[in-house]
Amino acid sequence: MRRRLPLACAALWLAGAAAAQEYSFDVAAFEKKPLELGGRAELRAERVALDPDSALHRLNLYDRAAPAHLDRTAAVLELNGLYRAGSATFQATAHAESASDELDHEDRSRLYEAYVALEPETGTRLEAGKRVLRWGKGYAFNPVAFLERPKDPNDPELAREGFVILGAGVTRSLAGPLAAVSFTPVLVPTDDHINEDFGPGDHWNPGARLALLYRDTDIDLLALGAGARSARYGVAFARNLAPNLEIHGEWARITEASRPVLGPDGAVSTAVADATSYLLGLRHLSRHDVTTILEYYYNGAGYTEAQTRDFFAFVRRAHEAFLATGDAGALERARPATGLRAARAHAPLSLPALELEGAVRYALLHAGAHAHRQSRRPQLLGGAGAAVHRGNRSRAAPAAVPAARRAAHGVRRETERAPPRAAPALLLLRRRLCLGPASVR
Amino acid sequence: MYSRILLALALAVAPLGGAPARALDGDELLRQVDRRLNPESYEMYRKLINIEPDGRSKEYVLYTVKKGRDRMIALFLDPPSEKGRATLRLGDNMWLYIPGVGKPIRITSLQSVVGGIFNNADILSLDYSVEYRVQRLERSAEGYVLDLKARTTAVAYERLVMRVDGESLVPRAIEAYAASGLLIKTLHFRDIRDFGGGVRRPAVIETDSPLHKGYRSVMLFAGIKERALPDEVFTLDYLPRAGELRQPR
Repeated sequence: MRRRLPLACAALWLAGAAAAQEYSFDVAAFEKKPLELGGRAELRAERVALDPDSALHRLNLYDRAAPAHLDRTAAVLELNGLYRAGSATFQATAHAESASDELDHEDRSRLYEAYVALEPETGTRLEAGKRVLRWGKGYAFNPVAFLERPKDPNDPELAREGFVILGAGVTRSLAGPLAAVSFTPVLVPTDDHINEDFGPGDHWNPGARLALLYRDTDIDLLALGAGARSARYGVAFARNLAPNLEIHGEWARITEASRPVLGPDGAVSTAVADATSYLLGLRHLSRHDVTTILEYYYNGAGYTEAQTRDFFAFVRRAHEAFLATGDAGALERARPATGLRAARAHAPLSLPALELEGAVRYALLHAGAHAHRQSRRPQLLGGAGAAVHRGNRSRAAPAAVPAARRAAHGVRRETERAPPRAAPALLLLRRRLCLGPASVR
Repeated sequence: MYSRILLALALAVAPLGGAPARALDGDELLRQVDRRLNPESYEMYRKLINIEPDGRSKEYVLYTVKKGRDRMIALFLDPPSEKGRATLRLGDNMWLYIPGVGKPIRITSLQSVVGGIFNNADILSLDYSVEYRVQRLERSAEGYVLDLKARTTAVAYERLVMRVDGESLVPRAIEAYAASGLLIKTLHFRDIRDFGGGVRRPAVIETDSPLHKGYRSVMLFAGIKERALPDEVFTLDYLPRAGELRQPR
């Protein structure tokens, strides 16, 4: 008994100390500082199944003995900083990545953002520098993302890199049905040294977004003037239909949209025509806290169904000819028609990229479901935004591997049955899906 | 003091006055409880601690600003993986901003933005009197018991039973029920503290739930003070910069 008493006292003391520690809260540790630095490091290992029967595999790996799977490792380092001086802030994010698999090794570094912002009063803002401007309400696709780099599943990090801009923003809150108005004009200068991948030529490329909150509905009107890219305009909206149901959509008209088209002889030409693209999506939260996001996307600048069939048929014939004769000329001629990296600036929404994008999202769905099954922790850090980010950051399609090669082997779900201009996307999120630091940021 | 005496008189005669009068008095009491908990427009810091049955815990720190009846921003300051994530609420409209995504996304108003036993109803809660009406008011040995019913279906809990301390007029405990009558969770208010500026309220809320046996969540409050903010703060364009609202202490 005498032995037990000190033990019991010690246990009580420890419990008390633990409780006191549990409830400590030092707010001073979180006060705003002039300089903030942050970052993340990530090590990733993944296996990618290759589909030797896919058109892109035939196009890009016809002359190589590719394995059935690629075991890929990647190391990522991302740093960000923020410096405050009065009403001005400087913000920057840099990203470096190194990846290897059986076919290749690639090192890559990018400056995602580096810009100065001046906010003389709340609701009025000026910005200059490299900046990502996200336009649109969709998750998987954004037809009105006129100032973004295209979403490329072969290079998911690409869309996180901004362009050099001069921008402003004026926001006003109002009483009545129109609760808020925000106007964001922007200039995207292009020449041989600045934003050369935005488009060719010396232009200022003016754009603008007018955002309204009208009767509990988000409404965005967006436009980009003619310049390095053709003129385009669009509208986006989002609204809650019920406490657990949200609807969103985008509509865009792109004048003189160009896309690479594969001719009957395998020659790639550029077709130019006005195009209309749109997206309609739903976000639903079930009674069991499962969030489902369903989107339908029509890409008016994509291939027609007949053109898609022609593309796949030609690649099949060209590959058969290569196997029979060893002549890869037809395959080489057809390669630019994929519209991936080479044609990215001018054909950002070409068909194969869309198919692959859809595949990335489906892969994300499976990954998310798997993560949930493995998780017993109650913290939720998921949410749709995180999942979008996960998709962009390529759980399914890693970044630092050459684009053409990954296009060829990366996505097994690339299918010849996929409709050319429409792409559905489905994301399932679970409230208790656990995302670690690396997957959130 | 006068208001408390008037309230006591009103409660004393309430049983004679029939149901409408009692409901009115209950709503007045609920409004007083709201003002004891927070100024109508304020800023505050909170730490959320989710504790698992095996003793492991996860902590989050949030900075929150609120204006008027239904405008609120909650910004994650910690852990680093969550830093910068912000939620804007305008009435039943809600948006989530994640730095890596780069734009606010409209979410359903019942969407949970943080896990554990606390959910949006606790983290992004408006005044109780905005979201609930008083169905019944009773005296108890310790103060009052308010039976609250959600005003709309957008509110997470259909019914609350709030036990209010008669002395301080702050909640001692709140039981949250689903429409089916199922007890979802119980919030326990502890450690009444003077935050300055006339704000004297519980600094700790603990919660447990029969649906998550063994799990516990704790919310610690600090830096609560009245603050006037421009309306433009509560807009989508400002949400990514919500952290700039913090003032050096």
